[in-house]
Amino acid sequence: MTVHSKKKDLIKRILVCMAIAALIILMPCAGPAYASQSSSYVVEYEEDDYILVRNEETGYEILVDDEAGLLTYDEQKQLIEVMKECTDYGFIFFVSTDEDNFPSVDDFAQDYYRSRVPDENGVMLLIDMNFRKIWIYSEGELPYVVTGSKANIIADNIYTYATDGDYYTTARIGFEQIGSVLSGRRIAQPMKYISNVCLAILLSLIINYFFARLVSQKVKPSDAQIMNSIISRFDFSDPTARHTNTTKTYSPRSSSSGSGGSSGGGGGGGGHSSGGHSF
Amino acid sequence: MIVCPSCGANLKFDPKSQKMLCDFCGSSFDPKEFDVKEDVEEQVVQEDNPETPDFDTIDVTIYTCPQCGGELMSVDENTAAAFCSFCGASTILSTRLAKGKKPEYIIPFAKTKEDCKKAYLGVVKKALFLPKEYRSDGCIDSFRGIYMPYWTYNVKQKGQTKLRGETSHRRGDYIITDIYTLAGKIDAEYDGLSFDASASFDDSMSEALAPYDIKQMVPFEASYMSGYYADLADVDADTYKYQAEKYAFNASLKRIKNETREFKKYTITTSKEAPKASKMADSAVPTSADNGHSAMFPVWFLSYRNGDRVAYAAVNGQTGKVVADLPIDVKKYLLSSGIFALVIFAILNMFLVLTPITALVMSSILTLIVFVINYFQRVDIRMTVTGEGDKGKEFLKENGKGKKKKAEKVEEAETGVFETVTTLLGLGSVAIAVLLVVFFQPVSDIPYYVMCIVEAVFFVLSFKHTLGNYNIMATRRLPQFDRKGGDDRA
Repeated sequence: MTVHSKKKDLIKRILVCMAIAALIILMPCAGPAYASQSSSYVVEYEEDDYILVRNEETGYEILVDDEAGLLTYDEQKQLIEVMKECTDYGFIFFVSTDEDNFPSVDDFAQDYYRSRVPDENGVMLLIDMNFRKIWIYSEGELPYVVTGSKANIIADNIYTYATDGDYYTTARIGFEQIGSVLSGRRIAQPMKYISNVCLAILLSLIINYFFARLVSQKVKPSDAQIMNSIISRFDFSDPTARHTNTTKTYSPRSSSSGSGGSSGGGGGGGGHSSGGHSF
Repeated sequence: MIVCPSCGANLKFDPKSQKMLCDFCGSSFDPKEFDVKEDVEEQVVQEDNPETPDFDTIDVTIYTCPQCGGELMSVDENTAAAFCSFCGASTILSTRLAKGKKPEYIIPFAKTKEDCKKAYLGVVKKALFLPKEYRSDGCIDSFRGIYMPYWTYNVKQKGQTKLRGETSHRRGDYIITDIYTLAGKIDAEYDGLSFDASASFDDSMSEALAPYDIKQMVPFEASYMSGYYADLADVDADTYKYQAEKYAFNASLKRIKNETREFKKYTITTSKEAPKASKMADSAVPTSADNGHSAMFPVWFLSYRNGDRVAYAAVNGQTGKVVADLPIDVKKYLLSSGIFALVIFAILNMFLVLTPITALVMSSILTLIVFVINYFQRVDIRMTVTGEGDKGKEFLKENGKGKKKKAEKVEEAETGVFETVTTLLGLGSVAIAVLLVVFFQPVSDIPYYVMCIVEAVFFVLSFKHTLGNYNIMATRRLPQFDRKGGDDRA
């Protein structure tokens, strides 16, 4: 094989590797998760900071519960328009709160969602002013689409607006991206790719180093191999054991504190996924 | 020189047929047919005209490298050596005739040069980052058959063993331990425990090249050396005597523990650490080695010089086992790491989304891993250049032959200023990362990502040292020999 054809062969191999890698990267993005459809909406209930709108065709509802008073009435109305796209797939909630009687944001989100539509498909975007966190919570079948990772990415993309006090933009972009995820479109996740590129480079350098060390290891022969290579004989006779001494060491038995009780109850309801970001 | 009885040409030992072969007329002979003593006697009388011939010596040609002072010997007079196996220099080695002490035993070459090349290629094909020169025909062709000097020991264990054993049981809040003396008669022998007798041949390399099947060892005949070179012994026979005794001590202790049915119920607490050399004969397992027998073991040896570094590869001439220094071609390493990174990236994208905190934690861990690798590399390099743990080199030092080299080499083993500064700053960045994650926990992602970038920079800077250190570990400084003295009985 000539040097030229060797080089060609190497370039071919590199191209094949890159094509396979690109295929693997793009595969998860292929195809929408759910089909979208046009619908009509009815306002079911409306009072201060609380609006409930129903998608008549799918039966799913939009809920805006702005308990913390972060949005104006107009903003709430505009937000509902953005949220409508998501009702093809499940219930869609925007909730803001400043309650402080829950140990974590996720506990509040789970309690809030399950007290209204337990086990139903749905996504909730929560702005918790007590923990100062944006939290995206999904339940039913939707955790397979709006996964914890996706929730983290969306929260990561919008937390800066919340930090600036622009809660409407926070919620609007949040629901736009939730809608994109539900309909199978891609959302911007630059930091995911940047972090993964860096991590992949660092990992590949280290893994290759260990591979090089493994290959270049100078392995000493085992005792058995040495024994097989030499001439040896071994005879041991008249084994006797003579008692010489007795020692007594104080070692109190450890008092057992009983067996640990089982933790956690089964609990009803399906799984959920959630993720978020401080602001 | 061993001459062909049929045509007078030079005979060479052929590993495949285990015969002496004449390249000129194709005749073959049993190596034992040649009475070298007579040959030696004749030559001694002719050249040096001594009073009586010395049957314990053989006439050899000593080849000396003008660059490193490395010496090889051969029984062939008319061979010109065009390169040095120690420093890899392409130079005509100077020759002189001398008398060498005849070794007692030899294991003849069983693997041909072709076998050796095949075995070597089998190993280097796994070394993806090896510079291509190491696979080139020119490089592989320079494998040279060299008999390496070894000391082989016969270790005997005869007498009464006195081991300490115990049994324990609980009584209330107390552990009762009964201590016993476990006695017995041992009659054991370990013949052929071998250690290399050349300080230029690293213990790490010779240990990895082992084992040689001692059952194939035969009384030395110079005819086996025809067509090959031999290294000179410069390490005293006493150097490895204790090593051999320690091996036998531990082997028998293990067998007593595992194979004596009567002792099964006892926990034998005799230390695995063998007693000191002076107490070996009166130890729990009385052990004593003889004074060692000189032997020559076959090695196909290759040296590849790159600037002021040289890499060695050795193939066991009896079994074909390969031990090789495998340096890294940095360009190749980075290219394949790049391709590998693409694959890892694709896999990570399928399931991993790093939050800023996780990204920072991971970059801190990876940066710390590189620092730890660098630290252990430095320890290894320091041990290698000072010859710590290498009995042959320690012997030379103790006898005042390695002091000059030690002074030069330790300097090489020191960590460079740039590496130290990089490490300290890198550790500082990891400390800041820990403070950030544990105490400050800023809301914004920017501080986390900035610290990730800072750590990535230190990672890359440190990893540059990792690769450099790796190549220092995988190659050797050009040797400088001082071949005076030593024990040349081998």
